[in-house]
Amino acid sequence: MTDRENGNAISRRRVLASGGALFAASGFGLPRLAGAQEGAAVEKIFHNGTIVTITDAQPEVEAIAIGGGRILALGSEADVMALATDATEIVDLGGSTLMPSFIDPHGHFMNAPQMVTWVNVQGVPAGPITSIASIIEAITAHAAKFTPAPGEWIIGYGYDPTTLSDGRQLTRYDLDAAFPDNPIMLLHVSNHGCVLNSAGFAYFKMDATTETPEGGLILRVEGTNEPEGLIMEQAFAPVFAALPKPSEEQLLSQLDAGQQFYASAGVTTCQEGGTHAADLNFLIRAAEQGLLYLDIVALPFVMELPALVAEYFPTFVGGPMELPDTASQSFGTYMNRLKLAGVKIPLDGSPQGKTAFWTRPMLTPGPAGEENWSGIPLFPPELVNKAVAEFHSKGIQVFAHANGDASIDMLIDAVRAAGMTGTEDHRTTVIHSQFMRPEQIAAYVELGMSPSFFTLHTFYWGDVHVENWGEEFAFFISPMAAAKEAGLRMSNHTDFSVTPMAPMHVMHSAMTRLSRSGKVIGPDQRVDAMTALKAMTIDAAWQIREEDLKGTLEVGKLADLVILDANPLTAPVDALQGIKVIETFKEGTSVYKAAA
Amino acid sequence: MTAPRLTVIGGYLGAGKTTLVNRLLAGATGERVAVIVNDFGSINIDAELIRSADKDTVRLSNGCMCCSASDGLAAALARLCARADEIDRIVIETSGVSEPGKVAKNAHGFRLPLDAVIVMADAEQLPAQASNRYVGDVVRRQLAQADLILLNKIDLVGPEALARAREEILLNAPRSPVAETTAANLPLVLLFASHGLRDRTDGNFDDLLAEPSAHRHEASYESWVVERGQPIPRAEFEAMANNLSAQAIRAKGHVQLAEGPDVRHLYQQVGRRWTLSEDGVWDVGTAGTRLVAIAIRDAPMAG
Repeated sequence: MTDRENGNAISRRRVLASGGALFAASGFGLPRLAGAQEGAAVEKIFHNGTIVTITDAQPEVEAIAIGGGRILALGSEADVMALATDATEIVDLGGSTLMPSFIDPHGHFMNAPQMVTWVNVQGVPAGPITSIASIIEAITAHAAKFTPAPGEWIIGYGYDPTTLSDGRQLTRYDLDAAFPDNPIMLLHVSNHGCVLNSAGFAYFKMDATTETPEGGLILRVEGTNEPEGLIMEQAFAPVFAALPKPSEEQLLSQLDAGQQFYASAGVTTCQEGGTHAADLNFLIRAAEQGLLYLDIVALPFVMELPALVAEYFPTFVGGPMELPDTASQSFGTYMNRLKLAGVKIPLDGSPQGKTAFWTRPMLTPGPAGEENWSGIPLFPPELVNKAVAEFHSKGIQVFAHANGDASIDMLIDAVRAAGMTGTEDHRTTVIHSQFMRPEQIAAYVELGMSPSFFTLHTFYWGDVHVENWGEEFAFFISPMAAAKEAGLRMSNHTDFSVTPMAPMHVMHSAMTRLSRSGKVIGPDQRVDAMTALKAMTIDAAWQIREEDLKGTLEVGKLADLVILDANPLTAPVDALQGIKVIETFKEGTSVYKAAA
Repeated sequence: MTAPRLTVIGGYLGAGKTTLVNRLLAGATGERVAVIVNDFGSINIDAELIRSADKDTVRLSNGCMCCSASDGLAAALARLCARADEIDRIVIETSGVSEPGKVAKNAHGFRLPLDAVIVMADAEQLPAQASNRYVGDVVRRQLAQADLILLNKIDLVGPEALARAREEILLNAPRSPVAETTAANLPLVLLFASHGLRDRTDGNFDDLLAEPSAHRHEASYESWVVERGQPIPRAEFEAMANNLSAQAIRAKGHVQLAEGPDVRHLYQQVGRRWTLSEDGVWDVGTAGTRLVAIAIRDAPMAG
């Protein structure tokens, strides 16, 4: 039997991957000192700082020893120091805080290498923008760094006119003065529009004679028909679709900088939480070339499975939603730092875009001005039921994107119909799980489902949600306190690049639920610092079945570590967002170090 | 170069969209049709017809092609617009829970002239689907957004169930003509081919309508000609068109308007969507209004 017949290329490569064998975890309560990791040399000992383990049994220790990519020992200064040899590097933390590095519980890694060459024109705090002048400054600094050739595109992301102090939109003329030779596209924060400069309009042959398509917007210079800069929706979609795409080679060359988005934030496990077939092939190529130094957890899109099955299981014959019996072998194990953790099933859109799916109508009109709008699902329930049952029967974990309570209901129905229960270890994860009704939390408990919340919504869109839904419903978005009370394990994410890769912002939002306007979006649902941190470390690790390897400091676990300049567990909550990453380690190797 | 015309086919799961699309790809209309599909795997193409295939496009020897929308509809449309000279018509098959009217609107930025939003409905399942707690809303929206409704699978229901399905349609889409079909079996040349009616101004469609049908419930077609010797004032013509488009599933022909009798206008109608566009000048002795229209006999219609 050839490898090809034997199954898929991912599982075949898995066998070739070094260090792929699962490491047996040391049990809780076992001695954590010498002998636990027989054979591995003590390479580094960290001491003289705050060492936060994220365990309840031993929340802080004085020193930690690592070697061979693992945590070898931790405990009192005297006990750990006794393990030092001549070859051991003693690292003086100098009062800083060492803790397990963060896990990105849900985001879109493939946006990172692309965004490396894009300029951040988001408003404060997600970006540096306060005015039109600051946009020009940001692009100028970016162009100085990347030196685009004349005619080469400059792309920016996160343009939001409401963050500008000028009281008007950015226009093409603002950009033309500084950038006459390069087409510029600044993507609107909604990702449904952009501002172009004159070279950009010329590239797409748009001028005064260009009609505004139905459902689109082309802002015109007052008193003329000349496009002014901003185009939206149906005027934007064809333009964006025709934008030159970076080549795979270019993206590979930007993978290091893309990983630095994460490493510089103290994150060493990244999620590609909605992977297209082409992107998966790209990531496999990156892994084969050894270009990944952080762990990447990929969740192929359910819609892409027919293409993936055809490519990796060429002899398999089955329906569109069916998988070969051996498919699960492709999941759950890293090969050169790439792992498939499960299948992503998107059930609805986004609440701020009014494309999520709810059981009750919004207080405001729908995305196209509809009255009594409650959204629509992305897939019929028949298909969702079938997909969930099929993946469950094949032993593949389901990660379902559900923002509105109706799509959450659909998933609950599908899980129940598939015969899954809370006594079974299936860890079906509900990504976002935002607009919940209290009884849905009980259903999660009953059925063994786990939410990956998105509390940053309380900051970025909390005020909008209150306007669209009223306080009762909006105050219960991403209800971490209620989930904790019910005994659920949960994670909390950034949905990068929807919001920046900033774990301390995530933590701050979980603890304060403060909106942009300063309103507390659901005071009852605020949580304590430890709960907030666990949702980005040990409980996030649990959702991707890596709790034996990551998420706490315990003997035998991977030495995935971050050093921060303050302890987030004891820092005043207002100071959280100011906490800086000093250094990040992936399995003992430094992958980011802040400039001194 | 004229832009390809656009047809959007919507309808809930199981209504027969793929059956229709497979027939279009098999060359049922004589046009070079490019179909954008959601589910590549469901397309059933005769292997002998396939000229080339890559990950997102299958090209057929009859000039048709089938494209995947897995990277988004806009990307698929952009790819097709780049080879517009090889295509007469773009057909978008929407997903079962899409709003086809919105899909048509989303395609508007690509400046493709829209022929019609055709929505298919399953005669057996429609009433249940329209009241389903999850998808009832979108099923009803689909009907409301239709220019033309194909009520399919009528061979699977008795008279009472058929009446219930008709009622559901009337409730949500009172102005849309309905064609009742079995196995989506209607002469597609009527709905799709932009030149299908050009030389049929005598109103004789017997050959086109004579597609074999073994089903006793198969709808029968009725065609007629609308003729006016005198130029028609625009307002009067619009009233006439609104009336015609609530009855005929398809109509086409030339119109002489009182406001510019020397200009020849082309009237195009699929379902309730009609357009009137300038179409050069009259050949000697041909000036005058002459339209041909086709309706389904006994279909429920607007009062």
